[in-house]
Amino acid sequence: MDTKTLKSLILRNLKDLRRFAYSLTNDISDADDLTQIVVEKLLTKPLPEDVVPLSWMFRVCKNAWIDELRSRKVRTTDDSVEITEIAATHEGSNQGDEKRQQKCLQEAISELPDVYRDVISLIIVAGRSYAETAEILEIPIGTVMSRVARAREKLAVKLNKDNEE
Amino acid sequence: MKKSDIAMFSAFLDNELSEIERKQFEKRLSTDEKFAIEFANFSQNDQAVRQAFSIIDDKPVPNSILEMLGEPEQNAVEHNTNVVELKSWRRSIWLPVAASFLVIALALPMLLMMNQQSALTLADVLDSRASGQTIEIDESTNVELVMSFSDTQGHFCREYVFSQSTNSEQRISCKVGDAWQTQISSALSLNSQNNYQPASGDETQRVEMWLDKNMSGIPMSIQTERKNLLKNER
Repeated sequence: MDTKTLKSLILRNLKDLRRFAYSLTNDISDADDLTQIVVEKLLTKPLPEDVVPLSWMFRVCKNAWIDELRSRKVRTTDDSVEITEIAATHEGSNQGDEKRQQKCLQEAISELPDVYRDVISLIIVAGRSYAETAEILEIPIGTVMSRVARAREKLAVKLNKDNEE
Repeated sequence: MKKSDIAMFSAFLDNELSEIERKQFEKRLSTDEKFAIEFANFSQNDQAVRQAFSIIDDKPVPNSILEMLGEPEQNAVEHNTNVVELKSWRRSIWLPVAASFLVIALALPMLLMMNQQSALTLADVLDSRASGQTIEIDESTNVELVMSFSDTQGHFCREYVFSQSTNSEQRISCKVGDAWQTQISSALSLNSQNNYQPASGDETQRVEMWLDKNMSGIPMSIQTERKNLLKNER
């Protein structure tokens, strides 16, 4: 794929890529930093021959974030920190019940094991199909289906419980 | 709720049902009120997730990204007042340099500490460490903890990736009495990007099928997992 076509592909999917990056980082500045790294990598390193470019873009994003988490070594062993950060990100943009619901939602997502967060981020947030998600995560489509269904089940249980409290 | 219903909700929401399946689903929605209410709940959750992460759309794309893509700076004024400064973790070029000094400063105390630490076992890791971490047991053995859950008999179970030298396995083990028993494992192989992936589609499907059959409810939250780990501490 030539550079012009690749740039065009990235531009067409930039919104989904940023949303995906945001769902991984839970911080808008970090999401833009991550997006920049992904674009740099895509434009400076040759695309492997055996990959679908769009799927490769999301895979690069996920792997770049994993590298970053490893270097930070602060992956959510203390979720209270993460939840506080998330709440701060949305400070001022929501009020009252809406703010509480937003916090519950982010908390519920942050509590999901990584394998379930990945499918939620790719399918619900970034709008990828099961086939694309399978390609990005390098797992069979059947596994994608099982995981996204379980992730939704867990979200529903958690959010319903919070609404009842 | 039946697992098959949840799988159906999920596939419908993701537009992954065949035409025939979709029509059957829509027919059931119009005739089964309880099913329809549950579906509406799932659909609302999806909408809420999408909304939560679309907040970033309101923030302009940083110029630095647009410039790389050769886009004219359409919102130059707006962008100039909102330049995203790269955070410290982006300045990775300098990290190896700084790290080389740190290594010298830290190497000796770390070696001393390693000698003082007792050897970790797989059981220790499963008993005490939270999911989301990769723990090194020895030079050639790593355990990547994926999630925790209860099985249908109430045992505390963990999914993890166990890697030794060039071999890697996705495993599920449950604590029965005082011992961890491996319930199922599937071989993983290294792909071209040096990441582990299922050796075959059937392999990983075996694990998913085991989970469908034996996992009680849903994976544990971080807090619930933490409580179970505290119980296990010896």
